[in-house]
Amino acid sequence: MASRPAVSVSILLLAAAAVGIFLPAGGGAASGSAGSSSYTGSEKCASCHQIQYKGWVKTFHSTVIQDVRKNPSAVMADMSDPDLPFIHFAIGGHWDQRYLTKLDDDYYILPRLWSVQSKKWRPYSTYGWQKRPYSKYCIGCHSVGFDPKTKSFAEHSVGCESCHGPGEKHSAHPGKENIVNPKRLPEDRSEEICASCHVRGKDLSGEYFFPIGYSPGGVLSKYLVPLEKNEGENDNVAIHRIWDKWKADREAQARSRCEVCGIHQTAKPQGAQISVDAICMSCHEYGDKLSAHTHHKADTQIGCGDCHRQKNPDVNENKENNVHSYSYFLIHPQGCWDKEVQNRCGACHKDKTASWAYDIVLKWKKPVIVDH
Amino acid sequence: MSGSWKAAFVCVAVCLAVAFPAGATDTAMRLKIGDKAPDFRLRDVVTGKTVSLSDFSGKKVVMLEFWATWCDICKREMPSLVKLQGEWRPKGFEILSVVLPPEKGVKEIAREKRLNYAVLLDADLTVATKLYGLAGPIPLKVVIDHKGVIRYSHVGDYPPGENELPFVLEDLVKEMGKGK
Repeated sequence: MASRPAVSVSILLLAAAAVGIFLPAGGGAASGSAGSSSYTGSEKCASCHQIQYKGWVKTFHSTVIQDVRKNPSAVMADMSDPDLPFIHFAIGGHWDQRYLTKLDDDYYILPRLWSVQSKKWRPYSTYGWQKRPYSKYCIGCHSVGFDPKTKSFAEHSVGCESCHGPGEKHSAHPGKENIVNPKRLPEDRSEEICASCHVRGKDLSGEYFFPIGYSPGGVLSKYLVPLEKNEGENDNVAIHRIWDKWKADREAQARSRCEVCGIHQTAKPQGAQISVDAICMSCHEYGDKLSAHTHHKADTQIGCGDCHRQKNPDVNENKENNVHSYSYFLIHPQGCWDKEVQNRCGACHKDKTASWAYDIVLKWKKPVIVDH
Repeated sequence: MSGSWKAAFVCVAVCLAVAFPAGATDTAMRLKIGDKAPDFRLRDVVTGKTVSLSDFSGKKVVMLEFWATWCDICKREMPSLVKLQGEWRPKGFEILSVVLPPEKGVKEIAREKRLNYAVLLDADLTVATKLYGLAGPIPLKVVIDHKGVIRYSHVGDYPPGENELPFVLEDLVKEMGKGK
């Protein structure tokens, strides 16, 4: 489902590089030069912490942004469109992958993203994309040790020091006293490390969309003003409310197997299948009403795909406007149900006939009116 | 920057402008960016008054928000729309939400969410499907400038920090002020 397209993107990119359509690396917002000498880089950490490093490498944090000139195979999109501009970096690749191009002295995310699920381009920030420079909107959470004054950083990824703080001293003289260990921090300080990027907000100047000056172990609310504050809520309370919800949503939807940041648990490898239920539940908030919807007890562990089938991976391309597709939902001229749902009951109820199943779903006033 | 790279940059900028005209692909309806927005008259479910799009011609930048009671995402984003309406209405902006059937529950949602914009019932989907050719997901936003031209559309809500409506409104309200 989330597998990479078979198109030989790497060949296309290499060919593109060969004819010189890439701009040169270096300088500006994504230079890769050391933002601060107090950082040492994840590779250096690996020399002592190999197990942790190997775990981290498997997470999406390690590949949150990738230089496509160094690693053309990182690109998941179909790059055959001759109108595509030069791309320098690929961002993400879990649900969507976005691409950075360079304009003047900064980078910008292209106004279309590659949907990993549907393997198609989709519009993204079509109007305002040239008003969102990477150095103001993104880089603080896609790099380690970003310095806004020089627009430089220590490492281009969510690296070890994103959560453990600058590690140069620790690297020279390994010891507990000169490195941040989130596990030894108070719980709120520890969680704020993740919240510093997973809670959307602005720095105190209002210029950057990430907390300039924050370092793991610090008090996040001194550096970040969350965008979605409730009336009368202070920054600290809002940060933790939003973070708690983000975390709960991810855990409930099984969209991550992380214990907060994930590297000590079994990491979900890239390309691993995202569960169908997780996709459905990202929009359908059944909560404790799921059992009523399925007419099955929770312990049967019946899943969305047991009744609803995917007819087309991209509903926008589906002329039949079928609801059972992983995407937004349409206005359905034919109605919102799967008229063949009874045919799937037999997968579990092997001793029953399709007509029995049809009668059952009719009693439920289905087949099957979904909650929309 | 060397001369050759300056030339390359200019080339990039031109290519991007051609390849990605603003909003050209971000639509889930038959009408496209640059099309004239069809006029319509619908009843406001809350006030009972009839509202026409043409009432706002020359006076306001208008955003149509197509939604329905069964759309969870639509309901979830209402507080941000209420905020948007509050901030931008004094500058010459108006949200006209077009609610698809069923009507049941619309008033309750409008009251519960304290909607400060029009809630126009498109009972037979004439506006949504026949006039605007809506053939995709909702919520769908269609921003129309003061001359009645569709300038922007967007499917879905916006993740925090990614709402580009302020960029759109800033430009269009400025245009209206200059009488362009």
